[in-house]
Amino acid sequence: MPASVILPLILLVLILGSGAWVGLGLVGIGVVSLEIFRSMPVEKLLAQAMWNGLSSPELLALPLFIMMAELLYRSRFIDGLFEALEPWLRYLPGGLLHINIVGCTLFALISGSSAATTSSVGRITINELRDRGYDEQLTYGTLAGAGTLGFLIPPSIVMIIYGVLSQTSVLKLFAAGLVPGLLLALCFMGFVMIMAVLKPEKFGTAEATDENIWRTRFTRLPKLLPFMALMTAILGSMYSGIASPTEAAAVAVVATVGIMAIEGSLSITALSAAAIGTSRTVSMLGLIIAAASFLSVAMGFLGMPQAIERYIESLDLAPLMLILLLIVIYVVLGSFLEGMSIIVITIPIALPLVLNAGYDQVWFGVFLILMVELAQISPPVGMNLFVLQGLARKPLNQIVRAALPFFLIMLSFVILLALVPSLVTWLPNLLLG
Amino acid sequence: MINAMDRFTRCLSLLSGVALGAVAVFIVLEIVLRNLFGISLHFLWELGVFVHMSAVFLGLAWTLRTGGHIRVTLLKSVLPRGAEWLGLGLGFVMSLYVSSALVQLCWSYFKSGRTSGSITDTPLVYPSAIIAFGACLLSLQILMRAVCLLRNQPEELDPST
Repeated sequence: MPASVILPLILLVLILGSGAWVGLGLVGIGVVSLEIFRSMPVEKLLAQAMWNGLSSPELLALPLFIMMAELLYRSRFIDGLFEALEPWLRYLPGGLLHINIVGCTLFALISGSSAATTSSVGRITINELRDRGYDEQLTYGTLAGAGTLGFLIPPSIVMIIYGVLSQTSVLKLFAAGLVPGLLLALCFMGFVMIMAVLKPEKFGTAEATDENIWRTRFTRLPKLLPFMALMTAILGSMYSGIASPTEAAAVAVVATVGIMAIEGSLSITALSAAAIGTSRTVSMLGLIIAAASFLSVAMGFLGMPQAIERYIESLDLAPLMLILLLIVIYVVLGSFLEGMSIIVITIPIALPLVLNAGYDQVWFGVFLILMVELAQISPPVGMNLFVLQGLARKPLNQIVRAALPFFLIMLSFVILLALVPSLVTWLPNLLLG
Repeated sequence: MINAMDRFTRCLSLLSGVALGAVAVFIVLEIVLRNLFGISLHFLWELGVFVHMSAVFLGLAWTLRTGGHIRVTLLKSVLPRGAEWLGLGLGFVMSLYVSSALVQLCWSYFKSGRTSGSITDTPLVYPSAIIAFGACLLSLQILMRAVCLLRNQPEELDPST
């Protein structure tokens, strides 16, 4: 392979490994590589690529979904969700541990962020489950695994970024994530049920109450109304054709403020905290996206995607072997890079390879999201692990051990999707052609 | 100086969030007007994109100050002080480079009088000036971080401050 391909890869490890902020580090890799190997006005290219990278109207959905998550975090929304689900899940094998999975799945249906999903659900359930005698490891594990569904189940912030960078329909991606997301949630629930049969001592004891459980179930159902309203506003407006994904994000923000006003949690303090929280996340992501846009252009000038493509083609791998190779690469990358960085760095290289192997662009989007989800719970740099560590106040290695079974379930699930790609492509083809 | 900078960058971060919230309200208004009365506010999309770009850059400094920018912390866990200085140095050089590039872009838009080319024909010098300003503030914030490190003051604030 030429030096113009190897040097940027070495720089990637050196600069990001040095502890430079990822957004600025990506700029550094591109600038140094171009200055060494190409004679061109790099500053002009950098400014224009950063400008173009952020000027896509589809990208506007990103800050709006982030704002919705920030607002929800400051509302009583999750408390209501917990109270409504609890009587329905109490008597399943595995009992209230399913609340982590179902709660995260439902929250993922309205939130696009994995960290927001994990922290919002975990904030309520960790103490509750501990008090009821559930095994801490399983509590953290279910939260770590199911929390990642925030990326896979629409609306998803990561899908929007992938859609914009790869020029794939965001609406199709949203539809494609739904079936795998729900199936993965069912896999997690199945694992919990098996564990409940094998190790019942880890699952606390069901409370003996003389209450009428069916009455409780139905009297608490109205607490799901805010969730239903928000889901209808987001998914209904998108799939009915009234609003685009970006407009649906705006509807979600306004609907969330409305819900907060009705439940009495709306205040200037909550709004300003949500505004600053939104700005922080938007700035962090925006800088990475802008820098990645530049790096992507720089890699194009260096001929890197073509060189790697030629190299992997020379290996003459069968499509499934290529996917297995990519899984190994992504798992390694995921252990030291944050999920968002993985997406923006690898799209220009991996997407053409996968398309040449006969896989669909939408399928690859879901595959990539699942790999990012794995990165979220891969040590030492896993955002969900950090979120859980902050919530549980336990050593990171304990959280990592707890997440391991769910990591393996997700890994097996990715292989299943490679074997049966229609699990991903069926729904978008049915809905959108 | 550091306190004044903190107050200023926090205000900019708040302003960014509020502006994004306002964009959400206007987009919903546009959906209602379009679906009920057939009126479309075309300029909103362009405005929304410029607000988003501005929000990204105006929030950069406060995000850095509150530890919001992600980084690989492997080296930092082994060599806390050395890795902080190394990351800070590289970050500062790159931030200066980005600031310089964006200032030049703004200057070129000013000289050429280039506009967005849409119905509103917005002069691109305005949004580009905001993002260049945000990038320069980030460089200044990295310098402030170095000052904090030299004085043994905490280099990051709690985000809820």
